[in-house]
Amino acid sequence: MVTWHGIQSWKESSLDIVLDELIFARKNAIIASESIQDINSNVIWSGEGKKAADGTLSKIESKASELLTYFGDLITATSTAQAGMKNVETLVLEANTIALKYGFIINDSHAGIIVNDPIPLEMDPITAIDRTDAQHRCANAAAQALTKADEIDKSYVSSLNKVAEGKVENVESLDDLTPGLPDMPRDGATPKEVAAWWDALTDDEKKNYVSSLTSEDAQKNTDKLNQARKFGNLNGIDGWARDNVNRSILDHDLKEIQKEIDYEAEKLKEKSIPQMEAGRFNELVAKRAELEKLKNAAANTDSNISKQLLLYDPATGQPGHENLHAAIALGNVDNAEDIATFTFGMGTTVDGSVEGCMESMENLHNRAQANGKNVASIMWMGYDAPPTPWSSGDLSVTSTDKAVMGGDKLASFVEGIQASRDTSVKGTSPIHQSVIGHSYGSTTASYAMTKVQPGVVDDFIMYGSPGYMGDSVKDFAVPPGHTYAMRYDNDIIQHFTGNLGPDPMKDSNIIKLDPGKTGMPFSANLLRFNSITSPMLGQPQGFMTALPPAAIAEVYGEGKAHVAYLDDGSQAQREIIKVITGQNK
Amino acid sequence: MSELKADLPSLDEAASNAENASLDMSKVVGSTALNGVLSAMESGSAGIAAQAAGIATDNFSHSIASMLTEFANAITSARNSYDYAERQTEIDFTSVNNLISGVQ
Repeated sequence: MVTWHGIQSWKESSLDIVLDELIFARKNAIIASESIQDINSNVIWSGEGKKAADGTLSKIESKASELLTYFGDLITATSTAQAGMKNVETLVLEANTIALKYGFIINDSHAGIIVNDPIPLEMDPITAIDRTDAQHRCANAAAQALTKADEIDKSYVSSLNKVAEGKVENVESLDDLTPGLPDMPRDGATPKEVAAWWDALTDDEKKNYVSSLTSEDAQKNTDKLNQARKFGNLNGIDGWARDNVNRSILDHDLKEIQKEIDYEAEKLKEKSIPQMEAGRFNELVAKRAELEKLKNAAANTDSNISKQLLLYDPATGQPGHENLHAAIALGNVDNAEDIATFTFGMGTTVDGSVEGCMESMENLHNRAQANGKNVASIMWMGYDAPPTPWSSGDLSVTSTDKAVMGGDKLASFVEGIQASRDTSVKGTSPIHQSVIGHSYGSTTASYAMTKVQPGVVDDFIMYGSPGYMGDSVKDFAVPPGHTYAMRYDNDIIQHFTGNLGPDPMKDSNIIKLDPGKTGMPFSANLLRFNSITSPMLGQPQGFMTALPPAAIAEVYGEGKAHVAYLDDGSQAQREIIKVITGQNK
Repeated sequence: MSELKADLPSLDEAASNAENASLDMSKVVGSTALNGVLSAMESGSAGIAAQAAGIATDNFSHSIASMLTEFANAITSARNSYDYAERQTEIDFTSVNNLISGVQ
């Protein structure tokens, strides 16, 4: 039975070495298994003795398969236990932090967790209420930690006992793609668990696995196709593997859409319906155009820059996934020293923005690499950014809902890069990771910084930000002194701060970067823009769309400074490059 | 005992391959990894269970290594009794099969 005292020392990282050595042992077992399969190769023999030899070897191969199942099960169980230990670690820290602040003493007994308050109850009622509340929160966190630890321990023991007793199940042939290991990590696996699963495969196994998902046969098999769709977006998998699989699915989807378009066109022809009036046909054509834009943006047309399609996730229509999600890396995330993930704000979609964003990213990337550094710059469109209210009447930009949905995904994405780059499973990766958010994308990224595991993000920039989430910069899992903000004097966003969270430009704990001047005057029209758009924050939906288009165009033009930060050769661009290449240290 | 027709280099190669496989298999060790669980999960039962699982993996890999050694021995023994005139020999895997059936 786990004890409160015992779990004080539980650290997720303490199982790193166990996992690394299990992975090492599995790889040795694969080498030995391949040696067994090679015994008969190139041997010329025949007769009954040959049959007897084959039979005996086959039995030995079965034993080797069983041994690989031992290791596969041990790796999976240890990885799952490790993910759970992280929760225990967090809950223990929470309980201890409260106890330290109030001077409580936590003990466990047969009756459960007891939190003693050594200060007598001779105090004013408000203090008493505060202490009692803290005592409950402390006891609750400690009890949850203990319960969780007990669950993890029991589940892990059950898996370990099966191995100890030789009662493993689902023994796979040595010819399986991942003998002894599941074909995919469990649903809901953390990026670290995913990376452990992937790391456990040998290089040859990895190549064969990717080939199995990208072959022509795989594209005809619904199960394989679904597996490929899932795999390509799994955070924790190497970039090269995600890229290969995602490109293959993108090509497949384009072919399928073309088939549908041809079919619809034929139907229209038969019924003599003009194409302009064909809803489904036009919908498919628009979808194809969007996918083609993505394919072109990810195409390796410039021999100086390699690209990786790290995320390809077509819209499902579900809330939070009404748009195509995608991420393209310029450079190689598998070996870059500096990896920077950029996320964007209101109105950005693959269809409307991928070309412009990639152009800005390529300019920035070329300059970042100019000093000989190996950089990967990622354009991350992995969430439904809020649409522009004046074109859609949708006011979701005034709420943090989409930032929360996107922030969770962004946190997992950058954790996945970190996990995939860790040397084996243990220790810290040598990479330097930055997250950069523009406009509403900075709010999304700020939420991600409150959720991401410590040690993943080294630098964080918010530029043209309407506000950040979290009570203060201390809520970010970013090293102190490594959160930055930047804003042009005439950036229209300054009139919209406060609604989504604190203005980063007014936070003394955030380092300010100097973007210089855009050369665009701050005119009275900006104030006018402010006065007419402020009601967005409280006025009925449709207010903006009721404005004459000419007025919108005029005031919107004055907001160009808001989108000028990545202009090639600008001071703002230089400031960002300094941070993402670690020159700000 | 089963009749086996083969050329000598083939028998040599098969025996050598089996010996190499045995050597590779003897390097498969799980206990070193799993002994680390005891200190990582203090007060839990997983540490003890992990030690037992580690011993099981080591025993299992060693037993497979032994099977491979026996397999190599059987081939070497057949090679030594090779009849040059008939270009054939007899091979006996009884001891290997006994080992296999004795392992879970």
